[in-house]
Amino acid sequence: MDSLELSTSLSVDKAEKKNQSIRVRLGRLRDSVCESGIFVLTASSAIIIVFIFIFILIKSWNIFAVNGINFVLKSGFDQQIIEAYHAPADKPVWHFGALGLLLGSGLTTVGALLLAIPLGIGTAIVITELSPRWMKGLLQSFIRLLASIPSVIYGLVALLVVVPFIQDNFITSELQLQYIKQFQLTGNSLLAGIAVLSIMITPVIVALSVDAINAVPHRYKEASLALGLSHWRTIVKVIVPSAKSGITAGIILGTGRAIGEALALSMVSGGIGNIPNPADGGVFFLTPILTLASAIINKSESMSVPSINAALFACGVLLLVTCTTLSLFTKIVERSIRRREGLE
Amino acid sequence: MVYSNSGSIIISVKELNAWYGEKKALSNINIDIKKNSITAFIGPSGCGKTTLLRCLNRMNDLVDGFRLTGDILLDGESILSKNRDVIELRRKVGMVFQQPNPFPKTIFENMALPVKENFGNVRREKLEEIIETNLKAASLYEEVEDRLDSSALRLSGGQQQRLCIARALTINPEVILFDEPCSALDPISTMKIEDMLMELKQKYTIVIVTHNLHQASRIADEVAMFYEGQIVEQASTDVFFSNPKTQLAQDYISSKFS
Repeated sequence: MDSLELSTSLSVDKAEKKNQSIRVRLGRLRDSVCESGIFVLTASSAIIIVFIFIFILIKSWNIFAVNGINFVLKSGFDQQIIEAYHAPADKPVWHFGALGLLLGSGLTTVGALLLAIPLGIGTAIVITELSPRWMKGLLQSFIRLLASIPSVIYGLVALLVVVPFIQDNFITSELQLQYIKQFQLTGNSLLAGIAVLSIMITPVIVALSVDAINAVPHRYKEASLALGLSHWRTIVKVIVPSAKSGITAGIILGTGRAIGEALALSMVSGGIGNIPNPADGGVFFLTPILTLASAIINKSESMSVPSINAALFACGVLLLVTCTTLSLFTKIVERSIRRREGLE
Repeated sequence: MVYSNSGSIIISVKELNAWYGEKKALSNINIDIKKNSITAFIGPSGCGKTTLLRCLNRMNDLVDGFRLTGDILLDGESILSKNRDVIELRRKVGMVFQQPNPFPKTIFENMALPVKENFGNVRREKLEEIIETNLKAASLYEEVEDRLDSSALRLSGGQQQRLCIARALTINPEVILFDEPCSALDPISTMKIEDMLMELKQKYTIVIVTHNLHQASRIADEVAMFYEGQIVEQASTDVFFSNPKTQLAQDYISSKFS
């Protein structure tokens, strides 16, 4: 009797053990399925990016083959698009020069950064260091809201407010007459582009700067105050410098957004690839311009022409290269700052 | 060396009560701190030592919901009055924290920042001289003289703490507050800092919070024992350790020493 009980209990034990080992094996199987699933997803998104690069490069290849480096050294993109559009099918126009667009992107971006960097860092300082707790939350939700507004809305507001403002305050009939041979002064201009772009990238800079400043250890602040620095000097000399790797990341991210922004700029910046001339004085800023990204939108109606199609893809290549370089640059800058601070 | 003032009172705390929100942190504190001496605040965790220390240079102003009643006099003047310049106070009463907190800058910049901020534009040679003198005073100079331009965060914990002490010295304070300066350090670094404190008290008045009774008995001239927000006993170090008057102090000393 005893031995029987023993043997049944033993067999029960065995069955239990078997069950357990099956469960363990099932668990392992599930884990490995999940892991490889995630891996496949990650890998496929990486592959998609590579394919986008290859696709755009193939599409634009003829342009670089024909124009070479001149694609970024020569101007006259608008005129060339018109020529290409009207060219007979057996004599297509393949010569394009996107210098005007490149400068348009560069000038709007630099201009917007000059406004947005002080504005963004200043706002971040107000949010993190100078406002009471209830205001912090409020301001931060506002900034988040600003960041989530679709760019077409910014474009619309700029078109309805900024452009007429520029036209009413800076442009006179005499001025229009004076420049009528080169371009039409309407208010759609580099200045309008810079204005709308700076408002669009400020939230990005604010958001990343706020995170960076919040991440500065409290002990740095205490150390500085205990050394007799005022709150303001502590912010200027200790807190902001300690947050500079994060702030730089925000600035570079903002730059990326500025370069890539197409819609709002195509609405307010003029749509013609002029090269603003510093010798024109203030008119420099009133010149209608076109950027790489908004050129793709503006000229997309004529994409049925193969050479125009390729030219627009070539603009895309320039954009992709710039943005990729920027994002690599972020990593390098961040690492070098952290290394200099002795954090790595 | 200034011994003439030794024994005179530099800081005088009167009837001090303090609260964090609703929680009372200090009750009816009265203590005098003598010039050019080392006063140690001892007692179990959470008994108010650090709170009192941070009242002495008003670092608690940063804490939301902190308030106090009573008065603290520095050289006979209240440091709590509304029109007292906190920045000027903190120049007179320096502080070294529990965690070494050098800025993420070079060693040189760590030392130069408070000098430039407090004394305006100092000539380069003068600046270098101040930095050298104070690094020497914190017995760090030999270890870092050839790498003043590397990041302070690359130093060891003990070196970082000595850098923080040297940095606190650059602005010529009268009093230096130490909040458990050795609790994050190894025994050798601790010993170096203790030796340094013995040197420093000839020029400065030192108030130190410590958990370490051995440390208090080694370096302090005066001891104040805290318990639940009150000072239960204060006396010169010899008297306190050889002949404690209260039962609490007796228990604390014997439990820690046995």
